[in-house]
Amino acid sequence: MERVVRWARARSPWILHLNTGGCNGCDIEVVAALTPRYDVERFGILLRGSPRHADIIVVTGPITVQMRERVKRIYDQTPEPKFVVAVGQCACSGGVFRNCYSVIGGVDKVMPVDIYIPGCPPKPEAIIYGIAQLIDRIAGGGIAWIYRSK
Amino acid sequence: MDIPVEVNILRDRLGDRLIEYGSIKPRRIYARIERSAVKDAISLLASHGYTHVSAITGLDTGKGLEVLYHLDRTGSLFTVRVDVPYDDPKLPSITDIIPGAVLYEGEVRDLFGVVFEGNPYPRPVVLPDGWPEDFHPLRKIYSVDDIRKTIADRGVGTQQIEVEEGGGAIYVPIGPQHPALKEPIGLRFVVEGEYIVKVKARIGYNHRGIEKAMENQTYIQNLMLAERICGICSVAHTQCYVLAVESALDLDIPERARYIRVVMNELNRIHSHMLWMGVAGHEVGFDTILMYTWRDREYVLDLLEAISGNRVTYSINVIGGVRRDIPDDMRDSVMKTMDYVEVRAKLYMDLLLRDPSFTRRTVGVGKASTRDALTLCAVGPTARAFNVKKDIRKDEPYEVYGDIPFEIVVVDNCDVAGTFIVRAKEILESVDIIRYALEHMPGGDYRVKAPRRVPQIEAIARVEAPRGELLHYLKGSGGEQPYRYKVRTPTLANIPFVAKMLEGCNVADIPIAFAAIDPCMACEDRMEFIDESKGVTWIWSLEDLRAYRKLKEKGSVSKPLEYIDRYGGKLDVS
Repeated sequence: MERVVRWARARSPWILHLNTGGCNGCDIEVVAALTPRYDVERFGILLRGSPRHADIIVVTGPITVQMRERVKRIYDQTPEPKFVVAVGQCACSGGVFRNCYSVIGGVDKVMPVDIYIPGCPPKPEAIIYGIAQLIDRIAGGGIAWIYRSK
Repeated sequence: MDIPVEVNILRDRLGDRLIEYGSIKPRRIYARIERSAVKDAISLLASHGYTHVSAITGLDTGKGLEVLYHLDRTGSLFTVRVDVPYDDPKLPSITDIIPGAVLYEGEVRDLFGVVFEGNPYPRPVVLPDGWPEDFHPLRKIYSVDDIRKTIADRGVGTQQIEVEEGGGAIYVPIGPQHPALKEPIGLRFVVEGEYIVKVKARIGYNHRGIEKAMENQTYIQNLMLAERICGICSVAHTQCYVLAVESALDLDIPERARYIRVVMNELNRIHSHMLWMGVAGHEVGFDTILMYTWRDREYVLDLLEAISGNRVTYSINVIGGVRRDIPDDMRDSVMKTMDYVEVRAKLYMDLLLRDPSFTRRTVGVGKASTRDALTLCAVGPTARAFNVKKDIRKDEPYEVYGDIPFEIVVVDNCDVAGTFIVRAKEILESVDIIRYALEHMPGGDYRVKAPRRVPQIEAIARVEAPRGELLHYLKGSGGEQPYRYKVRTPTLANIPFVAKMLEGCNVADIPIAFAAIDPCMACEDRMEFIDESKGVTWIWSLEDLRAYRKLKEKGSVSKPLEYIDRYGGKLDVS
């Protein structure tokens, strides 16, 4: 039974796109990955508007002070098992905004991150590669999967 | 030095209360006045055509605070400077003369602690919730570390988000996020049944503190940061930044660099407008157009990548020129793509304007008058769709826009459909500008060496970003870091106006009407509705709104409350 669930999960990962205070650069690249040239729907990836429907949270941008509590809430609302992908340098570490007073830092300051995709912004190919690696991990029962199922 | 007639009028009216005046750069006039004369001066200038507030800048001079009102009249900027002491930072609000100043005043209040008496906007405007009232981050006595420490000590931003329960209030908890648009904003609506009576915006989810960070970095480091203020209009921000720095340095750059900058600006505008069309199509449920425009946009991005080496953040503008040349053998591929873009842009216009399902959602939606657009200081394509002929490229030509023939696209539709037409036609204008620029581009150098220190002078630069007038203000410190840097983005300018557009709108038309201004820092995912007659408050996401719209068209619900009764927190209705 678990194999079936895992198979289903890996074949149709629904993602939630969450901007936590970034510059939009990564966001348009995430959306570009969904449109005809890159078309991630061929992997069964579907963009959802509600965290309650999502398996993967794709986070772009550094965490700002005002967004911190809201990000935590969104993470809590996402059903288990959930995976977090940090897209872009800001989401990985705070990036170019590290000297700004209202920026806390990367996404890993508030929630666990499974995949980091660096770049400013990463190309859609890089985003697809990162998510594909995550899917591979979900399907193969990698580290993240074992960690979460305990 | 020519002293414009307005200064003489100001001198006659104010007498001793006008302390000094002058003009350092062309098209830039300033007058320092007494605090008591603010309202007189602004209303006098407004009656002489300076009706558009471009920005209000706060400044901490070390001896006291200073507030700068930048007033615009087709291509010249009048800066009214007022000194405000630290111990009594009060000024009268000018929102009764120019209502569009409401957010600018609020911003200065947040960041510098200047109280504008009579400003109706609640604090905080840009700072996080729970920010201490007596703590103003852009004052010079605080370092970035001090501010971080205060944020941690006082628990700023850690307050529980208020959840209203019981008493008939229904709360649908959705975070400030959304798939199609990008960034978060909160809008509070007062509705009467189906119609919106009043809108209040809560911005600042994205406040990072870039202006303070810029004061602590060198001009070259700031170029990187300026580019990342916005990832979509990244060329416009660096363009404005280098204009400000070059103007402060009195640096003349090679002609070829100016042409390359124009080409990059226009390519950026094309990709931004295409992006917007797709998003707006998505908001009305026309996803085909989203896929069309985003596919065609990739060809423009390919060009940008070929020229600069990157798809989104181009780093093409540097102080003193451009980083890379456009080689002659690249000209053909640019021209070829421009032909394609031209054909496609005409197709979109044809497609959208003749499609009844599209026109029904846009024509007559988000109506507002030209007068509103003027008094609320709307900018860019939004203003031009409401018959306001305002384009910085024409009014105050920067780089070589003065030499290039093009038209300002203005329509008098005064609704959401107008913003579509303006943007589609602007793509065509941009195509022509690029063709002209490539054909007339002179040879020679494309970069000169620039000094690293900027003298202690002020410079204000304005460019026409894809979303409208963008203003950067720079005050040099004499060293390698700026003393003060201020950015006023077009979306901030358009928020008071879109609030007006939404008034009287149908609840279901909120997404498209809000998208009409092309919000760059914002997604209005978290909306709060207050039904005044019933005293009920609820929060909807854009998805709720779309679902509600679908059901309403089917006739299965007629009122928002009916939808909530039946579907409550359920979001997905297919």
